[in-house]
Amino acid sequence: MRAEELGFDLAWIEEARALAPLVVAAALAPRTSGIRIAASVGAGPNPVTLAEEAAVADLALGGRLVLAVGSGDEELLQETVELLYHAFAARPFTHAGPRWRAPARLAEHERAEERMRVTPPPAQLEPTVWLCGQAGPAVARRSGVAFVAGAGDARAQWDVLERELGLAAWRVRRPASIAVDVDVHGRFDVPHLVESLRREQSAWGMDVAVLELPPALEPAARERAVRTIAGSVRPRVQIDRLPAGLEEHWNDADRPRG
Amino acid sequence: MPPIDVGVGLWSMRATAAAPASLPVLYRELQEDARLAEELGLHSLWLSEHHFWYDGWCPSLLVASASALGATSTLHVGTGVFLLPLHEADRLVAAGLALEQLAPGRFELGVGIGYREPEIDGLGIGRRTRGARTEHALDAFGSAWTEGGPRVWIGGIAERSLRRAADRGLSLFLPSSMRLGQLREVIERAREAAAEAGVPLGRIGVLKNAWVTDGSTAEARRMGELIAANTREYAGSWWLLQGQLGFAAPELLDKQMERAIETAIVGPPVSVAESIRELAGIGVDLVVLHVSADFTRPAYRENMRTIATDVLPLLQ
Repeated sequence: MRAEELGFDLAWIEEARALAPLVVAAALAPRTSGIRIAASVGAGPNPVTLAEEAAVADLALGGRLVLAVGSGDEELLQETVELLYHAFAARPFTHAGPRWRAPARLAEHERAEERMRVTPPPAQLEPTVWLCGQAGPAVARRSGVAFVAGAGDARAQWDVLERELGLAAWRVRRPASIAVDVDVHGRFDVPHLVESLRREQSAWGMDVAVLELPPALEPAARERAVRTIAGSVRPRVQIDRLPAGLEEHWNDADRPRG
Repeated sequence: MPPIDVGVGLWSMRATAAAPASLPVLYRELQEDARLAEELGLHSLWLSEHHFWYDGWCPSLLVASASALGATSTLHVGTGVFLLPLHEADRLVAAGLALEQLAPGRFELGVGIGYREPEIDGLGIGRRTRGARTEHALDAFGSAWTEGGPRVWIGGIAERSLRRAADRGLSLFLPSSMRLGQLREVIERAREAAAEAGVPLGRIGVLKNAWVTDGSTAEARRMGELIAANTREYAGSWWLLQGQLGFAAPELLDKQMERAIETAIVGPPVSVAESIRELAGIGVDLVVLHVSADFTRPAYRENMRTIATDVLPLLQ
């Protein structure tokens, strides 16, 4: 997989751009061995089903799955997160919430159980779940789960999270989704992107940048853009300060040689 | 002999009491086994679904199938069977389209309606809604997959199942433990129903407990016992035999075990090929040899090789 060859840490697959992200994530399992795969889905489906699919995808990926769940509906997202975590926990549970009861214990069932356990468990002992959408930050504050920040308001939201969760706010990753303005030839303003990423890092501790490329890029343009990000952007944001002269050195020969 | 495809099954990634295993390793092996099946020239590899069982029995076959399809380029990967009413139709439609994009023409969607109450209830589905949910999902596939989608195989032998397949021109996926005469009769009824509906019936597949032996009585007996013991574990826990759960009705359970052994295809290559030819003779065009199970690890891989080198040539 090209993204893995170029050394990217994570590939993001989302419902708006791909059908069935967890299915696509599992299909990438045999073709990758290091890169994490984030599957981004909307809340709404039965969280038990989501948990099962995510567990199987994570097992196929050998522990490399990130499950991103999004919604604008806070109550829905909250209950989804609760039930997801019960399901991932590898122990029996009962859940009764505004939307779901698990087990349902419907009257017509004579052999329903009082508690259930979702199997198999994911490969990761502490599965990685990130929240997306308008309701992400609010639910993140209550549940100690990371949310994926958009442009602009991340600092204020993480300030609130730190106040409410204390040290626990540093336990999770700080991802942000950033659109890159790439032209039809695959070129973009490298210093500008590097500067934006550094700014987010220092303002609120962003540590995962999910760079969104325009969907309609031609393959050659896309290849040029990702090689530039891999060779010119990523190295520049991996440590706090680069030695003087290093960036100039890179400017002379800043394409991956592979 | 009419042509017949030979596939292997059933992959469920189960870490059982009899055969403990690491779950991540089982999922890696699924990908490796898919590559092996493809190398050997077998038609297909099939998976099976259950939920909330102690051994981790795979609950998400579309996700698991995707990993097997991603590891291969010509092998067909099928579900024997996907429990249709336990899932939401719209998500299934999307997943089917994704799989068709990833691996055009290679995903086989065998479906059943499920029977185990804790699974159905655990997912919040009413058991009495299974029929309607099945019909709804099949209708959804029919309208969404007009430009292409997975082949759909209806599992089961009940009149309702045969009608569902026949009315829509779908394929049939018949269960294991059926005698030849019973299979012939069910195929005949399905053909009649399809003729009545005015729609050509799709393919006819059958699942068979199977093992290629060295020809000795000892190995045949050993494998028969393993098949029976394996079926006993979940049949005893799950199957309702005349109103009681299997383990509570040991004599009925024993009869089920006898039938499983009697109808299994266990023997040397020549006799396995003969049994497959018999199936082809009554109209079966896909046989899925159930050689892969927790209790046949790791020997099932050698059996897959033997099927490819010693059985398939006898079917030419």
